[in-house]
Amino acid sequence: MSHLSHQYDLSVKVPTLRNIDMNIGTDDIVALVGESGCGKTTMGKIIAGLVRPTSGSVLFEGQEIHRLKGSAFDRYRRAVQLIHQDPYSSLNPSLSLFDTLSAGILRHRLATRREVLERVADVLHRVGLPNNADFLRRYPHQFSGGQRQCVLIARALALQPMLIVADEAVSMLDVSMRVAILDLLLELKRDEGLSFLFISHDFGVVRYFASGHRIAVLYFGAVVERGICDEVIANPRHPYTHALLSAVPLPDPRINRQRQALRLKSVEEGPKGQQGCPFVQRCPLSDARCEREMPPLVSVGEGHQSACFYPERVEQRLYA
Amino acid sequence: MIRGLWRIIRRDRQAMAGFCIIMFFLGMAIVGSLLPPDYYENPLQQYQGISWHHLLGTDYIGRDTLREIIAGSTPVLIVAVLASSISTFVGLAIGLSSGLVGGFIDALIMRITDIVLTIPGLPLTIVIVSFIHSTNPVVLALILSVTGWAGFARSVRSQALSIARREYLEAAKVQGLTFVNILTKQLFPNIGSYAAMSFLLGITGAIYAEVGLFLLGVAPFSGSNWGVMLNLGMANGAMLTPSSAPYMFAPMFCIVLLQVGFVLFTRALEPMFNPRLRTS
Repeated sequence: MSHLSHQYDLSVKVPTLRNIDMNIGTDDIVALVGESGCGKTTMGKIIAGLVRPTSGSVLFEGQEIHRLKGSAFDRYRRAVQLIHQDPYSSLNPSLSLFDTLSAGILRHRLATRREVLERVADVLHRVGLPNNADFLRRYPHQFSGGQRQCVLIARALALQPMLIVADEAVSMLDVSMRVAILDLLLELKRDEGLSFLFISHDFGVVRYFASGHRIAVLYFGAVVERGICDEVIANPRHPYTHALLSAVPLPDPRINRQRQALRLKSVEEGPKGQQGCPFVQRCPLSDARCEREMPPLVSVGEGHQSACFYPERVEQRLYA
Repeated sequence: MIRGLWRIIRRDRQAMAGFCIIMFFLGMAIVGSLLPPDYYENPLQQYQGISWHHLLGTDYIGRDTLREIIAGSTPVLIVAVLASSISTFVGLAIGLSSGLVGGFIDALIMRITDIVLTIPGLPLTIVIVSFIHSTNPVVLALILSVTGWAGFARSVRSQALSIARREYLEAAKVQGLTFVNILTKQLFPNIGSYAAMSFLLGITGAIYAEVGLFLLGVAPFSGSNWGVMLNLGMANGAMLTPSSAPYMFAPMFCIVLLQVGFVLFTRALEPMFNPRLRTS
């Protein structure tokens, strides 16, 4: 059953997102990568229903979310949760940990007032945080960044959603915690069919989490490449993806040296206008055609698409 | 929160002092409501000085001043607390909702609020009071709060606006929390200290306003209260003799002392609402 599919989204004068189509089903992961400012967070918020796209639609179980009313809307609200990027501003400083976590549970009647303490303790335990009474009484300013991020994750999990939009959900955690949390999320996916829109700019994390599932690379609001995660990472077919991946340093210096990075033109600005490929300013492979026309997503392999006129010019096999 | 409040009061001497003063007057008001009216009038004992028999002297008709003060505290406090409650509640409801909803409705409500804000409060109150002849304290409280809510609503709304865009409110929306819940549990605690302070200081403002009304003689009264004491005193020759001093100063002193009490007490309120300021 498909949960969400957007047809196109554009917002604001300079489009934040252009013409994105995406489909996420149950027990599915879609990773969204891109540099800062490319629109990943906006997309996450649109899916979570916080931002209305200027055009296009977001569908949940086949229905436009902004037209849902009453209990259907409640179901959507429970089913789609968001883990915010900034753990410092997304927790209410006047509410204790218990208040923050129990609010949603009580609202959706997932537990009575007597049971809710147990539920909260339970979800805290799962994310690896202490769940004693003293800890529950604490306020956000008493937690570290990593703890706060775990609280955000707990808050999203508490409602037993169907889809979690995880926006840089593990960026503040140290590496051991990261693996633990990612493993937990994967476990939940397996056991309960939880889906994820996993937003990140860290390819290492994305590769660990979304292996075997889809990835989409976003550049200035347009999907420039999409496909199966491992395939796209090993064999990028869009100059931007290639550049992104080659910027990730590898621990083995021999492999590092063997890689051929695409040299980007140094122009930093974004796309010129609405016409043409958004990457044309920086792309070393571009020509006049790229400036005039927006390249559509074309198939470059099985389940692998790239929005480039010349995907074949992109270096084969980034990793030997 | 209430438990925290007591701890905070205990630690802060000034807040404790304020708290004691308020409790003292509260007690006085309660006792005052139980006292039977004083019919002991002896014009020959007018404006007697302080003595063991009359701790604060007597009034223009020979009644004991202290007793008048105690009896008079009740109506004053009732009206003031009521007026401030109404103003605060209305101001909060309008300000918070308006700030949260935003858009056209918010703009509309704020226009109306601005219009109310520009109406001069005291003259309007005098006018209204002069044709509504009721000694009912609730009515008086309502009249006093007719314009009082506007300024408060405006500032609450700005606070609400600045908080409404914060991420934790977004998170609340994603969780599907209801409008009422967001208003009361998410937004309000962040404005709580401001609201409580406004409430308490609003009480003092209301006391001044009502005492002023009684002093000017425009408000109908029954029984006695602090403002009436001043009014009748002036009407009965208190300004002609220095021996009326205890009688005239007593209500003034009470008003000032009560206000000092409130102000000191509000020091305890900020840490009560803002967990970061607590030194536990």
